Amino acid sequence: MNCDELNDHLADYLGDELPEEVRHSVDEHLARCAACRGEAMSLTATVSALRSLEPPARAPGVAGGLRASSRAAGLLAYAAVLLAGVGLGYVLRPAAPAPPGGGSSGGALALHAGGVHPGWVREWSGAAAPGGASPLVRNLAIFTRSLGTGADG
Amino acid sequence: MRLDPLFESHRAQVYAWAYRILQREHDAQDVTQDVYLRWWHSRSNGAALTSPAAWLRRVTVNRALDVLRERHRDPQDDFRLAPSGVGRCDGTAPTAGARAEERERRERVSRALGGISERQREVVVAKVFDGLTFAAIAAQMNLSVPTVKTHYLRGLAALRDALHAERVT
Repeated sequence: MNCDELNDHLADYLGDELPEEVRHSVDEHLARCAACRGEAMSLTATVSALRSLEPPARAPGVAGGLRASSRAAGLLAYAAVLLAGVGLGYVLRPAAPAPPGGGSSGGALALHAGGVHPGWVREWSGAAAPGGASPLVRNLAIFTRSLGTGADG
Repeated sequence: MRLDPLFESHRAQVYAWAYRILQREHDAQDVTQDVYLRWWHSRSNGAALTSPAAWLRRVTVNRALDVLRERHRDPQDDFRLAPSGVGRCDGTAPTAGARAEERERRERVSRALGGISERQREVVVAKVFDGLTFAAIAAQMNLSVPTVKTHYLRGLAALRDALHAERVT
């Protein structure tokens, strides 16, 4: 084996992929060629230096760390959905009825500014239902009666 | 919440790549987590899906080298070094000075790895750390076997020169 042939086999030699008979020829060449021996030895030392970067003896906490992070991401996603829902509810709230006489009381404005629509207050209190109970109160009464019916039946 | 099964099957390897370069558990965990996030964002990326092992190896090693560079820039970081597992052949515990010296030597090796081309680094890491054959590396990286061998030899030679300049080998 000459120096060119050795170079052809050097990667396999360093990578432990040489067939035994070829390795023997390489070793013979290295024994008598100082230049090739120096090259091979220095590269072997480099591989050894890389191998001194030890692999972990175990992988502690990797799964835990990742899963803890996933839990945190899940909580954040839940909070985001919750906030989005609240925001959507605010945006899609019932439109404000035109105030009587084109104006609005200071109290109604304060309620509106606080996110509570004056129309809702009237609905809840029954004030908006002319001549009788508000739809909310009527529905509550029907619901209560149905509960009573269910209990009787 | 379950991890992406494809990442899950490579998670231990990702951690091992990061650990070999950084030699610290908590840094390797951070890199593993960071790589998972990148994987999650890139999972529709063709390169990531065509050869997940090659993609993860490249991203993990590059990220670990970034962390190493940041560590090197922070002089306070020396005070947070984890104890090294270096022992002596006579079974006695190494001195603090010997441990620090060994840690520094390993960091120089890792830093030298960051100084060679990305292709060379991928091949060297796959060969030396993972013990893959040249044929397997060629298949993973979609290269010919002779090209992989050339990257390996050139990468090792560049590393040797860098380490020699730092008097590591």
